[in-house]
Amino acid sequence: MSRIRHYIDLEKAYLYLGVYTLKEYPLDSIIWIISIILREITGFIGVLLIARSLDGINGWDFYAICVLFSMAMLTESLGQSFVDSVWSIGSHVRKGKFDTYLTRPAPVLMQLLGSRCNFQAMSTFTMALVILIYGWEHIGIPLTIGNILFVLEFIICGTILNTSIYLAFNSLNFWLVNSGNVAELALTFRQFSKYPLSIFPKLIIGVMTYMIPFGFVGFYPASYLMGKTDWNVPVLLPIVMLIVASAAGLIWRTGMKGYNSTGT
Amino acid sequence: MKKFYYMVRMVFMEKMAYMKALLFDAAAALASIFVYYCLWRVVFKDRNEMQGFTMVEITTYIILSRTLAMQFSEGINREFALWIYEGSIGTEMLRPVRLFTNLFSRRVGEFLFYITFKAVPIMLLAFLLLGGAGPAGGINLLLFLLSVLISIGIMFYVEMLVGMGSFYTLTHYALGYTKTAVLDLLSGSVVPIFLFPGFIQEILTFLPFAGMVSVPINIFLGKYTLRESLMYIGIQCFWVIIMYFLAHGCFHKVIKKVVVQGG
Repeated sequence: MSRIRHYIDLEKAYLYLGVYTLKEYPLDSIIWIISIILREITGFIGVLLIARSLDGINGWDFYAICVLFSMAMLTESLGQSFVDSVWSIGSHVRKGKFDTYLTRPAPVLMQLLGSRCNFQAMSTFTMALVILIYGWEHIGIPLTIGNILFVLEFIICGTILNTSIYLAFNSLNFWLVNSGNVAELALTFRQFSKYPLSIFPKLIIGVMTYMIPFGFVGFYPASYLMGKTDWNVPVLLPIVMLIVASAAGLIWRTGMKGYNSTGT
Repeated sequence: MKKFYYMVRMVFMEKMAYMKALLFDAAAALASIFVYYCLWRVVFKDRNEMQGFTMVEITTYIILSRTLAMQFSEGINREFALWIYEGSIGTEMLRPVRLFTNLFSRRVGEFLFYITFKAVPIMLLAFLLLGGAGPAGGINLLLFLLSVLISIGIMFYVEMLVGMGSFYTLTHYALGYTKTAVLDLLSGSVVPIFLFPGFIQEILTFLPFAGMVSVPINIFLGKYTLRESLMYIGIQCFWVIIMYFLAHGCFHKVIKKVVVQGG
């Protein structure tokens, strides 16, 4: 019990640390916020402009695209806010930084994830919520308790799922120390998740559903909300999340076991 | 000139060290070309043309725009910001070359590397896989290349300005991301400029950013008459000159601050 309390205290300390870094350079934080909003918006405007000048993409109209895009953005921005340091595994391995972590009395993964919070990304989270509500209203998705619970479930499970995929890809750095950043490949696949999956060839749909299930951080949950799928997404989502999270955990643990300090 | 040549060569060699990272860059670029290709294929499912563009022409637009836009996430703004941030700018200024020449030669080296190992292979592969229209004519191809070359000038000064901006913000990634996002949108690389609402279209075509993606590709596809092509290239040159004065003016201000802080 006291162990768990210790971990909770530690996590709190990490969160405080995040707030302090935010306040350290205020001007820089503001520019950060503007820049991530701009980055998300450019991608968003692209699809919106296409959807606007036509009558939707494959049955996905302007507002449906809003819902899809905002849902994918919710998970991504939460991940950026709290566990963005999953992206530093590669540089940690190269610089031998895990040596320090290994000597401390807390799980290495927890220390890693806590080491950097970018609370600036909460601005995109808020923006995503606003876009979601806007699209939701126009489509007229019923505001039932079930749907609201589903969105909450999605935000939690989706973020864990998203982060797990990133963790799995980033853990490959344990084996491929000298090959640039393998993990960037995950971002390449993620590009597909921001659009209605149904526009892609079957092969890609298959990959995004069964192999690297980015489909579940946007497309399937959004389809479920708008009644575009027969799949029971509320049940499937946690199952997919558990499978991917355990797989990612396994890859991470195997990598950490074979971790040799670079000696620097 | 000899100095310039050696500096260009140096950067080229430096970049060669990151050959493996190149594979992932290429994969990402091809994937993004493919995503946009699928998106547009749906758009053209029940129509043959849109605003004078056919699917084959749009395919060319996607391939060229995504490849040209790969340069946005790079550029010398990162390096320049790092120099200011770490104070090594002092050493760089002591070199027997002017700082702008120094950085410009780096940019040219980067550009040559980008052309040989990124742009040409990715474009060829994408054209082979997806098809797409070739240049409308020999003169179009030549003017396209000219326009791309001039756009390096505009990009260089934009990068210099962004790099100087990070002097005030202390870390450099954020401004770099903003640059990428803004250029992506305003240059017409995410969506062709003709999809923007009317008056925004007008504004965008006369801003310096259109010259980086939209103008060269429209010339390539023969969407502009010879007269229009030359006019747009003229506008590009005009912006290079404006940006030249802007960048140099700002530099004089920024550099005084460096001296005050002692580097």
